[in-house]
Amino acid sequence: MIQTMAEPLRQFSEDIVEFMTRLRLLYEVPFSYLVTEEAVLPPESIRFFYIDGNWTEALVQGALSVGRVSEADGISDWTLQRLSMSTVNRQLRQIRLQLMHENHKRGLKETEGRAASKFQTGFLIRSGLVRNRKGLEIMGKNGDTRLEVLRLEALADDILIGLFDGELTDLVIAEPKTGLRFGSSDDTREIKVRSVTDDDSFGKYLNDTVDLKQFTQAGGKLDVSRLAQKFGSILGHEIGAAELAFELIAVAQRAEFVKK
Amino acid sequence: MEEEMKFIDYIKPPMENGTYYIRATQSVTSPENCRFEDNAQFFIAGHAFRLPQEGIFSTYPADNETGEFQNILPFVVMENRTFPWENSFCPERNGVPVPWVALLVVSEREGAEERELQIGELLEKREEGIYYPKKEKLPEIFAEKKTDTCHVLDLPKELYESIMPSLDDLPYLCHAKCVNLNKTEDRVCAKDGFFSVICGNRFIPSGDGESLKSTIHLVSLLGMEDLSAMPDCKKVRLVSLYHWNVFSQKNSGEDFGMAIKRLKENCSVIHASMDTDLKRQGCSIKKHFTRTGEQTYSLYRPPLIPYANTEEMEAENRHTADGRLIYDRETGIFDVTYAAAWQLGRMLALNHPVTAESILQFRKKQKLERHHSCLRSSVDFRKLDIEHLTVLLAGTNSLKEGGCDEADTDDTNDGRAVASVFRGYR
Repeated sequence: MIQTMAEPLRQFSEDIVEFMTRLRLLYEVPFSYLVTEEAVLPPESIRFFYIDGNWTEALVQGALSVGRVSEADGISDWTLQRLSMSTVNRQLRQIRLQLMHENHKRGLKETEGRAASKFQTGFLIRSGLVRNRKGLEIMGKNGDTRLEVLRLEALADDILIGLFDGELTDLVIAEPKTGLRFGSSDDTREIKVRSVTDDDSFGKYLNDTVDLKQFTQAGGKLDVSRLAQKFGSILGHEIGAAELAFELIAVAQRAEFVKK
Repeated sequence: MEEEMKFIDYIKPPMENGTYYIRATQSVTSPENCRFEDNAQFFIAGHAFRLPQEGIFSTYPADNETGEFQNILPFVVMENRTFPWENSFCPERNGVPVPWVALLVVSEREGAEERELQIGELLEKREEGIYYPKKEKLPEIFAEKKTDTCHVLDLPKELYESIMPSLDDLPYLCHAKCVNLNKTEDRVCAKDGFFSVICGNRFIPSGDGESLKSTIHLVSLLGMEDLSAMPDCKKVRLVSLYHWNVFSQKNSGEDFGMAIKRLKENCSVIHASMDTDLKRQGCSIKKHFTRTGEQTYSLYRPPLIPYANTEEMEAENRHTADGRLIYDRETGIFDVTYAAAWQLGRMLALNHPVTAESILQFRKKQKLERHHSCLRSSVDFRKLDIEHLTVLLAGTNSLKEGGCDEADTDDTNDGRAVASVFRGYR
């Protein structure tokens, strides 16, 4: 006996909408469907692209076709899909945000719930950098506006795909923060001392330099405790492992690719 | 976190590896004063001889990387933020714990030997002239089994003394880091951002004009006490928890900048540098076996295209793959792009039994809802109650006992209600 009548459902349920969103972001699409031959993405290359909305629409339609018995089913599915599209658009960013750890979500919360742009664009990189520099940092911009990253995944050892919400005109690639070099940048082995005082001058260079060669024995071994004492005498207080690491670390290098 | 990157001197685990005892006591006062006691032993066993690959987040330089490394110190980044301070092999110095691991760089020409040994053999057998801590000084309980193998590094005594960091050096060589990962790839940004870093104390030996191979070892210092070797030994044996090779050549210029330069030289919009016009639009020719058994060649274009596609494609029959085939009458070739995409979507959904089931159930529910809403609109009741309906059709007036809405039980409405029932049934 049916007591109450619910309204006919206007959209697909949550789990189906999530599946549709993942398909829109090309998750699980075999690589040969994305890159048809090696010449499209040769070694040590970077390629920029738009995502074909018709292609992803066909993909989603195909996925929703399971169990369809008649054309009437198809028509109602089509309506449902149209109605669900706005939810899918708002969910596009959520897939990556759900994966991301809470610690890194500073500043990203206010973009939740915003609808996606008309186009999604992205890039493919094939390079040794993907293998050797785990934690490579990527940022995309359209002019001056920062674009949301929808997906950033290493599809293979040396292939990285990145999808952005909007038209990409500026791509910045930076060395990983976990992989910054310790040591000096050239053969002089001179390090400029950075300020570690907890004020506006933090991180800025002081006038002193330290010559690492004075602390290096034959064979290349660095006399670390004496080096720490030297930094301590310049900075005015004893330093620990964290401050020594801060002094020795190299600045992260960044590269920018700009659309002509 | 507010900052982009934070350095921390050390992060001690709440409990170090080792054996622990718990004693529980309970005192009761009724029916009489009594004390009950029990003891239990448990141990925290860490890896002491071999590290699994998953524990390592990244190394610099990377495994088998070639480049210019003569002015840098290598380091290894561990996923576990307390790793270097989980064991103590000597007391704290200046109030700072001393890490139990060190990173040693050994080049191939320096006479170091490496081999694989069973852990049991390593602990029991003593080899002539090679120094290794006695079993009593090493942890009793560890995560590996005695039958597992570990990698050992045998260093000639002079080499050992020239490259080994001192006890004063060790605390400066390890630190912890907290990093904001929101610009990194999906798998990495799922981590919490805390890592521990173990730095080498030796600049990487480099070749002039050619690459020099060096091996970097993360060695365990457990049992080594004050790090001095026995005087009558010729070699010192260290357990290498993890090791990797690097190839360094002076002034080769190979670094991040070089890698980016290579990318810049081969940078373009997708398909723009292909050789034919057709390929530049993104199309590729694929073999096509039709359902009727013929073999032909058709065009396929991936979803990654060099231009913004603003037109919405009108499919002849949008509910099938075939309805999305595009036929060019002039060339007689099909374009299977959207048909292939449709079919792939279908296969991907079938590959997810849970989602496929969900779609089926949803569709069923939709049909049911639609059916009921149709019935409702034609029958003009606020509630559809089969019993209620049959009662009305039978013409009796036992509505009041049926438990339904006030409006339906109104006597004056009866006639209208019955009439609308008949209106709905043709």
